[in-house]
Amino acid sequence: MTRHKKHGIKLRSMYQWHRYIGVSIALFIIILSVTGIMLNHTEQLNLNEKYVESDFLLNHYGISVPKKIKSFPAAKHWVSQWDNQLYLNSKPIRITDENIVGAIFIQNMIIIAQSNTLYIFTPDGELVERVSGSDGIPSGIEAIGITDKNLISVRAATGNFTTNEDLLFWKKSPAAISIWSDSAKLPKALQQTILGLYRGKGLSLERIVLDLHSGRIFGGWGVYFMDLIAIFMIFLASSGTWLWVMRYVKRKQHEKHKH
Amino acid sequence: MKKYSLTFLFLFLTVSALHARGTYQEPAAFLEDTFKGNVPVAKKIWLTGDTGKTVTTILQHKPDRLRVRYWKQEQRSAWILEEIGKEKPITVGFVINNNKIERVKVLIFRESRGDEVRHDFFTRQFSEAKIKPDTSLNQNIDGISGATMSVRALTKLSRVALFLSSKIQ
Repeated sequence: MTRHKKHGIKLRSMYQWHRYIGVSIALFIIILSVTGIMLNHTEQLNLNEKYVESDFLLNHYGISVPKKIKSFPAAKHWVSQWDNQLYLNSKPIRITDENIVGAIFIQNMIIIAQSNTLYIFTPDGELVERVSGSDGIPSGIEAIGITDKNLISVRAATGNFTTNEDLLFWKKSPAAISIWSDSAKLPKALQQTILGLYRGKGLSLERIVLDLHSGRIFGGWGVYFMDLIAIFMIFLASSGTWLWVMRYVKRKQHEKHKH
Repeated sequence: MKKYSLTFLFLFLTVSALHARGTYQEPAAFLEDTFKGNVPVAKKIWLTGDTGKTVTTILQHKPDRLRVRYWKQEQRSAWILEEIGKEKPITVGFVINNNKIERVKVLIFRESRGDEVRHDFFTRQFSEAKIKPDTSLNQNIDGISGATMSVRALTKLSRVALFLSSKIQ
């Protein structure tokens, strides 16, 4: 085989590689370019202030609905606990590690009970007071309710107690007739609103674009895959330049022979 | 050698951070201690209207609750207040006697750093402090390097305690 022929095959082979690789990774080049442009303009596009609502993506990122949602009606209000976030209706009011055991509405206040703490909130969700064991409340509260005499009652480890809305004086009242706060399922519309709030702020669009750009959205191997795409892009840039130079040289040589 | 030094430094910092947090006196025990076992019934003061505005000015933010409990016996009153140092609330007990601070005690410290404020050498500085008409303290409180935020929180709370105490006289 002559040197000229060998050179021709090499050139054709390189051209084919350039073409196949180019076509194969075209989609990823577009993804990298578009996400790159978006990331360059994060602030103008407000990517860090927009949040993803897609169930698929939120689940993919492990931002799922808590398995246990505890909710209690308190007159026309709803108190619910989603993991450690407490909501009064759809307003996030407090973060707490302890589970709520009940909620009541009395004297235009909402009282939320935990095992050793009572929270008093206004209907607007402003904390009036947090009362704990050191303030004289019975410990080991299992339930909270309202008595037939409109007093606050709690069922605690050491028995049933009653108090007024100030929560100052607690009286052991084994005979008090109480209607205990009972958990109930949140109304669907409210649940959807809280779900949006709970998950909506969990995943920004910037994170998605960033992870698409780096390949992290496809897990650990996605990063290596994008590395491979980047290597192919370097190859395409080099092979493209090389092919152009070779063709240019060949054309010049051809023109020289002609003359 | 370098690896061991780094591991040691990491362990030291972790142990220091864990050491800083803690309950140094239960609020109930603080009250028992203050009133020699004869704790008066708690009373309440609302942080609304002008009182709320002044407390907001002192704290430089809206208080996280609308009502505060206190315990009063003659001229002495005890207050258990909370303020965030850097990230988490510090629970502090104050005893105000005749509009002067009698005692400051850090009850629960939840931050990872800056717990030096719980020591007597620091809290002693508040002894006999009074509040001026502009709600500042009448005596200077020396800071502690590395505990600036905690010092600031305690100073603010002492002003709040003195101010609220002046409102109930």
